[in-house]
Amino acid sequence: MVTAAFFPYGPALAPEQAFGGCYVPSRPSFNYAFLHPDIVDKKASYAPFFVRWSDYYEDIYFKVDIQKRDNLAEWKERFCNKALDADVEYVVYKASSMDLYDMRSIIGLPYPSRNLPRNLMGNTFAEILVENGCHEAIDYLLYARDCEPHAVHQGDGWTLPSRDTAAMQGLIRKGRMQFDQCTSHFLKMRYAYQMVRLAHYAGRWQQTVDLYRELLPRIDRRKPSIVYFWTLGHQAGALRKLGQYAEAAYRFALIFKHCPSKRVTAFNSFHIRSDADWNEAVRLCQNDSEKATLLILRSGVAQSYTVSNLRTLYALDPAHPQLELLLLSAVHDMERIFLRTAVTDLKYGVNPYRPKERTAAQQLLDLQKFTRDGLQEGKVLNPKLWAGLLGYLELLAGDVYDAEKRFNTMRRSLNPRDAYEKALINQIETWEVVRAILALEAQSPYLDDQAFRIQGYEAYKRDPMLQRFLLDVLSARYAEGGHPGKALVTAFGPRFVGYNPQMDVLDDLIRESAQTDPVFLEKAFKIDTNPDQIRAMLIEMKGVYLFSIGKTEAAVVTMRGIPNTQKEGLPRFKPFKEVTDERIHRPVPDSLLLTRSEIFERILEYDLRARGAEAIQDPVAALYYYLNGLAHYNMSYFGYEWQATDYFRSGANWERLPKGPVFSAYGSPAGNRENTDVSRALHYFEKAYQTAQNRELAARAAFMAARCHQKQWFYSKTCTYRPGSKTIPALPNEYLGYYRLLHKHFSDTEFYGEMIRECKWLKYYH
Amino acid sequence: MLLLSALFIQACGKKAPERAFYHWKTTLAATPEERDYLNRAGVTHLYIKLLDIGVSSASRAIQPYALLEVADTALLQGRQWSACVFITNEVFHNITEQQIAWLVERTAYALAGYANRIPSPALEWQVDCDWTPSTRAAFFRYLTLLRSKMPRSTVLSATIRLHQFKFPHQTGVPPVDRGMLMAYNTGQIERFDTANSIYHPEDADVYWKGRHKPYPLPIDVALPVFSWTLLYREQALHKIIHGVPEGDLSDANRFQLLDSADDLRRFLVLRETFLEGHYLRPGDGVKTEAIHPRLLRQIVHRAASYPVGRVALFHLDPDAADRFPPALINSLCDQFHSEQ
Repeated sequence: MVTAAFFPYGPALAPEQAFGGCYVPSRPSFNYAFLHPDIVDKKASYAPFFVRWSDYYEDIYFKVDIQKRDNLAEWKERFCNKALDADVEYVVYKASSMDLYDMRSIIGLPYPSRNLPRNLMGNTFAEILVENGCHEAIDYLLYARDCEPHAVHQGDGWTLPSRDTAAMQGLIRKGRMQFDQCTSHFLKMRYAYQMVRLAHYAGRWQQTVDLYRELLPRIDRRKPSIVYFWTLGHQAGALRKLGQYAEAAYRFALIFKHCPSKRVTAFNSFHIRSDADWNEAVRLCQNDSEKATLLILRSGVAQSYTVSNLRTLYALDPAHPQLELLLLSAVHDMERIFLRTAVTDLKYGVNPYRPKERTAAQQLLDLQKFTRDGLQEGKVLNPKLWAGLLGYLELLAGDVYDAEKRFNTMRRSLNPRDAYEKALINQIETWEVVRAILALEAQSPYLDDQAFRIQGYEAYKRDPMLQRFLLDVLSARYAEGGHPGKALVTAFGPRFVGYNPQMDVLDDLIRESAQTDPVFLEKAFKIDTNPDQIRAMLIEMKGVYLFSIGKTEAAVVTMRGIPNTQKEGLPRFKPFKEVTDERIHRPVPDSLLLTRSEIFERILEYDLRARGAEAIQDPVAALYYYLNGLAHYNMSYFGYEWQATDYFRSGANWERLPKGPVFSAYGSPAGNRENTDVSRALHYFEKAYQTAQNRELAARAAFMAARCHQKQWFYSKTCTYRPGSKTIPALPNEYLGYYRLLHKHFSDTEFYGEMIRECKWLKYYH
Repeated sequence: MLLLSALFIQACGKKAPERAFYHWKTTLAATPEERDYLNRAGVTHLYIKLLDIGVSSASRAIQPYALLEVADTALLQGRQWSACVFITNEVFHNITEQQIAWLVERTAYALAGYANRIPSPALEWQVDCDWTPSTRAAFFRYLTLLRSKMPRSTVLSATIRLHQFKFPHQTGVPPVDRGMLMAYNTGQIERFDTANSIYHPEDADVYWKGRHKPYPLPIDVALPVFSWTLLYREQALHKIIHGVPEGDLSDANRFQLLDSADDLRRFLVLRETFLEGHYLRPGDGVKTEAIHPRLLRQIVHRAASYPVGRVALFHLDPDAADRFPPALINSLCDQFHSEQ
C-alpha cells in the first residue's frame, strides 16, 4: 500500500505544534460526548486547554482580547479608576503619536492655553494625564507607539516577515535611557517589556535574556502586574531558543498559572525535550503548586490524561482547581470509547485510535477507583462534580443501577436556584437520558414505546447528540432483536434500503408495514397518510430484488401482494425496445409503458410463448426470445431502462466494474449493488440466434449477444480495459465469438450495414 | 575530491541521471560538513521545500505553514535548485474554483517572495500532494492555473506515487512537465507489528512489476535515505518523531528492546519519559525505521528499469549523511546508471 507524501503527514502543519513535524493528523471520526461545558467553572480559564468542547470556549476566551482588557484595567487602576474605560482604551491603544505629542506639549501650560488636541477633547483619561502632569506616562506611550510596528506580525503569512533590526536596536537604546530617567515602576515595568520584546523579535536571544536579567531587578514589583508575565514570556522564548529548555518550560508554567492573557502562548510554547529537562524543571519549582502546574501542562500538551498522572497531581495538591479538568478530560476519553455501538462504527467508521477492550476496561476501573478515593477522602475542591462524574463512570461501566442511585441522591442535594448547581442538574438530566437509552432492551415488546417516551424528555430535546445516540442504540437493539429492516432504517434512513437490497431487511419492513398501526414506517418514510403506499413500495422493491437475482416467477408472485389501490400509481417503463448504442440516459419512444410487475409477467409470458413456438419450429420463437433478451439487457446496468431493476446506479462504477457487482457507496452500510450481470440477456439472445429463421433477426441477435460478451469482459476480474477510455477495447478471443460470427456470416445483411455505419469500432472486432 | 566526482560523472556517460538531494528542513543553512558531503557525493541539484500549505484545524482556512527561513545559501553554490511546495490533500477537498485561483495566486506570490533571499532562480517548481480520486480534478486544475503564473522557462513538476505510476490511466496524469516518482512509503505505517513502512519490497513490487508502457511524463525518481521513529499508543500509531539520535533509545531502564533487524527496531516504553520533546507513557510502543543500503540497492534496481532524468535522495540530514557516505551514494548512482 502506498501511504503518503515525502513525509506522509506533512511536517509542521499544525499551528498548535510549536516544533512541527511530528504529529499524526486528526482523522475524521465521530464519538459521543455528553459532558456539558457548563459543569466547569467558567472562571477556570484553564479549561479550554484540557476539555475540548469544540468552539465552546472560543467566545469565552479566545475571541476576547484578554491581554488588552487586563492591560487597560491596570492603567485605569493606576490612575485611581477615575477615567472611563473607552477613554483609557483610546489613549493607550488608539491615539496617534501626534495627538500624544500635542498632549505632552500642553502639560504645565496655564489653563486657557491648555487645550487638548481635537481628537482627545472630552477624553477623561487624557484630561487626568494632563491635569496631573503625567509626562512620564505620555513619554512611555509615545515610545510604545514607536515600538509597535516592530512587534506586530509582519507580512501576511505567505512571505517571511522582514524586521528592521537596526531600528529595533535603536529603540532598545532609547528605551534604556527613558527607563533610567523614569521614576514610576509601573512604567519601568512597561519599558522593560518593550525592550525585552524588541530584542526577542529581533532574534537576539542572548540580548533578550540579558536585558531581562539587567532590568527586572531594578523594578519594584511589590504591586503585581500582568506585564511582568508578558516580559517573562519573551525571556522564556529566548531561553528556549538558546536550548535552555528546562528554564524556559518552568517559566512558561508560571505564566500559564498566573497570566490568563498569555496562557495560550505558554501552553503552545511549553516544551520538554528530555527526562533531564523535566527533572530540572521540577527542581526549579518553588512549591508543590508549581510542580502541579508542570504536571498539568505535561498532561495537557501530550493530551495524556492517565490515572497515574491524576494520582501524582492529587498527591501534590488534592484541591488543585485544575485537577478536576484533568479528571473531566479522562472521563471524556472514557465516554468516547464506551458509548460506541456497532452501529456507530458502521455509520462513522471505526476509531483507529480506540484502545483494545481489555485495556480500556482497566482504564475505566482505575479511573472509577481514583474518583471514588478522591471523594471519600473529602479533600477535592468540588465534591459535587466529582460525585456526578463517578455516577457517569459507573454508567459507562454498565452499573446502571448504581449510577441511577447516585444521580437521584445528587439531585436531592443540588439547589436549582444556584446557577452552578443548576448546570449540574442539567448535566445529570442528560446522563439520565443516556442511562435510559442504554437501558433499552432488544427483546422488549415495548421497545418502540420506550424510545418514544425518551424522545419526550426535556434533556433529550435540548441535546441533538442524544437524538443521534438514541438512533444508534435503537438500531443496535433492533438488530439484536431480529429486526434487520428496522435497524437499517433507524440508523441510515430508508434511502439505502434499495442500494443493495437484502431479503431479510425487506421482509422485516414488509412485516412491519402489515401492522395495524405502522407508525415506525410512516415516520421513517415520512409518509403519514397512506400506509399502503409504503407497503406497495416495499413489496415492489422485494419483487425487483427477486427478479434481479433471476427469480422472475417469485418476483411476480410477490408483487401480487401490492395493494390494488396502489397499482395505478406505480412507475412505468418500456424495456422491450431495441436500442443499439451505448447511451444510458436517452429518450426512447415507445407506447408500451408497463409497471415492473407487468414487465416481469410479460417476460414470463414471452418465455412461455417462445418455448411453445420453438417446439413446433414456429419462427416467432426467435422474436420472443429476442424481446426478452432486450428487456433483460435494457434493464441491466448497461441499459437505458436500468431504473426498472435498480434503485440506485452510480456511473462512476463503470471505472471499477471488475470489483462489483457490489460497490462501496458513501453512506450505505451494505454498499450499492449494480445489475451488471447480463448472462440472462445473453441466454435469450443466443436462443433467438439459434431459433431465428430470418437472417436479419439472426444478425440482430448475434450483435446483441456480442454486446453482452463485451460487457461480461468489462466486469470480468481479468479485464484491464477501463470503460470510458477513448481507446477501443481489445476483446480477448473468448469474448469475440459473436462479433466474428456477425462479420463472417451476416455482413450482407441490412442490419450489419447499419451497425457498421453507426458503430465505428465494430469493424475492429474481427 | 571535486575532481574525482567530476571524473566519476564523466565516466558515467552523458545519460547518467543527475544527482540531487531534498532539503526538507525549515531553515536553509549550510554546515561545512553538509557542503563537503554534497560535493563528495556529486550532488548538483537541490530540491528545497519552501513552504507547506494546509488547512487550519481551528478556522478551516487554507494557510501556509513552515515557510523556509534562509540563513545562508552556501548549499546552492555550484548547484541548481527546485522550489518545492507541500500541500495536504485536505486542501483540495470541497475547494471552489475561486479558491483554487486564489491558492494559485498565493503560491506564486509565496515562491516569488524568495527571489530576494535566494539569489539564483529556481529551475523548477515542484508540488507535492498525495491527491486522491476525489481531489484529483481540483489538484490538476490548481496545477494548470499555477503554470500560467510561473516564469515561462521554469519547469513545473509534481510528485507521483507508485500506484499512480503504475496506473496512470486510472489515477490520472498531472498536467505538469515532469513527474517525481517517490519510490517509498509503501508499507503499513499504522501497525506496530508490521515490517518497515518506509519501503516494503513485496508491497512495492505490486507496483513495480507487470508494467510495460512508459509513464506519460518524463520522470525523475526520489529514493529514501531517511529514518524515523514511530510512536504507538494503545495499539495505534500516535506520532511520528523525526531526528531521534541513535543512542536515545539505548537506555534499558526506559526502553525494552523487543526485536531488532537491519533497518527496524521495536521497543516497549517501560516508564514515563521524554523522547525528542515527546512525552511517552509506560506501555507505549516505539519503532525506529530506516533504509538499509542493501534495501536501497533493491529499490535502485527496480527504479533503474525506467529512464529518469534525476535521482533525488530524500532527504539531507546528518543521520542520512552518516548512514550513506559519499562513496555509497556514488556507488548507488553508478548502479542506477549501469542498470538503466
